[in-house]
Amino acid sequence: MTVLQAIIDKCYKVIKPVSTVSNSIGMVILAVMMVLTAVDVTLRKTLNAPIVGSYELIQFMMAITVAFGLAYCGIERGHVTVDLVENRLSKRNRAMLNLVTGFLGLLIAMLITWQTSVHITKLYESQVLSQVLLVPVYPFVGVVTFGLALYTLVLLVHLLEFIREVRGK
Amino acid sequence: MSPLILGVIGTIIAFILLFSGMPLGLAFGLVGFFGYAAAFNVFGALGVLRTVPFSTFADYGLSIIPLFILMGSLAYAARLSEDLYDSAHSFFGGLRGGLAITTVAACGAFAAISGSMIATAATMCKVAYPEMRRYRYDSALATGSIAAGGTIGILIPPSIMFILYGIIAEQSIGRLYLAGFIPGVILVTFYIITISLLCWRNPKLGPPGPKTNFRQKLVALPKGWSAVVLFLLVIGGIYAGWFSVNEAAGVGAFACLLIGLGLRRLTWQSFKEALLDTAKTTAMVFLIMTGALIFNYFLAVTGVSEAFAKFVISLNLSKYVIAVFIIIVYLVLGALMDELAMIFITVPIFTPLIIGIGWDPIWFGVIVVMACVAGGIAPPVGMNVFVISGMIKDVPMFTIYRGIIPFLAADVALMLLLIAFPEIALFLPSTMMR
Repeated sequence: MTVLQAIIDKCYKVIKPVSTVSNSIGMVILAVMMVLTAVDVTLRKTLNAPIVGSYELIQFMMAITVAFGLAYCGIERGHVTVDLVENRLSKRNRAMLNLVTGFLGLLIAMLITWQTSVHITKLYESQVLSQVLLVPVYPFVGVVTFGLALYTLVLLVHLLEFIREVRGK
Repeated sequence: MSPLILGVIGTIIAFILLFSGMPLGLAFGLVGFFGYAAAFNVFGALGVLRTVPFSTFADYGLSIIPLFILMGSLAYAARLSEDLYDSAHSFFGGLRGGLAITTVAACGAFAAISGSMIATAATMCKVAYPEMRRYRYDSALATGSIAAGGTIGILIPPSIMFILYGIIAEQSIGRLYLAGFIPGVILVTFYIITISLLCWRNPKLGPPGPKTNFRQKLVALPKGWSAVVLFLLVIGGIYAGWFSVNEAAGVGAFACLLIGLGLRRLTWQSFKEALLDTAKTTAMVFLIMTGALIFNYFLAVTGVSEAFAKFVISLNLSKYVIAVFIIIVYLVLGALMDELAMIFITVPIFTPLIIGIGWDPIWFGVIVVMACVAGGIAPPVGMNVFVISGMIKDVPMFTIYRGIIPFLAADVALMLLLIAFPEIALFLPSTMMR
């Protein structure tokens, strides 16, 4: 086994369980979001007593559900891609093309993750609170940063795999 | 370089990256970031990257996406589509081509509680295809009707495509939903007529299935009750103004869960699978959306959409000619690329033009979604055809594509009908409570 393969395997050993757990948390929050909406509407229609701050709760839950699902989606190759051209290339050319697009994808994902982490500090310093529940917003940006960072790691491993493919032939 | 030229170049690079097989969201984000940096400045571009992901993920309005996907997944897990098939079967099964008609009718009904085309097509592969085989249906007709039937899912509300269009074009999702309903019913009718005509010309294509008597019909019909209840609750609730579109999604998903539990069909395992499926699709959609929103910032700063609209308007063409031309562009793009990609790249560019020449943006939403319906089965990249060909191994892909041609013709016919009579789409939203 090559060194590269060993690195890829090691990375997966760490990333896979973490992303599976975070995805499961996202799934639970999603189910809670569904129940919360249904209960909120029912209470409002029957007792005229909606849940206070349900709007914000859903916003926070959305941030968790989406961010925690990113890496899992990446590992499962749940991306939408247009593979019309790719499928017509030779194996070697396809590997080269994957390497280029993989690098570009990693680049933008790293930039986005970096900037979102900057957003945490900005919100922390300016003490931004949600309007109704008065909860600090920055931890949720932290959750999103975590999800993006984990996803970026997945893209990095994919890039290593593309390098392996190019070197393989 | 002028911003306008940058906008055009950026759009072309985005197309190239998309066709190079780069994940959509990342391709959009990349071009959006560097384009914005070039057209404006790097700090502005970094600022866009800083705020867009969180504000997109934590958007209340977008909670409608996971919740409606969840509703569809739960309806699939509770096997509600099989009930609808049984109901439709008792009515149409005995006709010439009846099993294909049953498939299309059941797909249309399931579309009213699910917004995904893939789930519908996958169910019909399991339920309808074996029976069509038993009755020696022509395999092109059998697979073609499943592929086409599945696409109805995105036209009849609830539909993810309408949500995405509504977000990008800044239109009311409730109105779009109502606008899709009548065209959806017409499309089902067109498909049924298509099947009847094919089997009338060549009865060997689709021999009649088992006949049912009146009593059997009476027993089978109520099996589809759950779908009717869900549809009335969700779309009726939006129409009557009981709750917002977002809340409707949550209420619908919860009601679906209760129905599934009541019917003793939802197990812990299938519930988990529905959640997992939803989480994955949600992450996928939000990745694309985040990238597309960054790309839209870039398009906005270059003013390319407005310039394009101005240019086309200056040509003084009839609005019908432009509409037909746009449909041709969509049919070509829909055949070549994924429908999500098509929506995100074209809607920001076309919408100012459409509004500028006097078409209603709600009507245009129906046209765009119809283009996705056709694109979902059009060769060489028809998502639904791929799904079916993955599930039904003994039919070659070419045969499936041969089977969908008459249905594609029906799709085009409906689009032309919509151009001639926009009221088909606009009537229901015009009666909606404000």
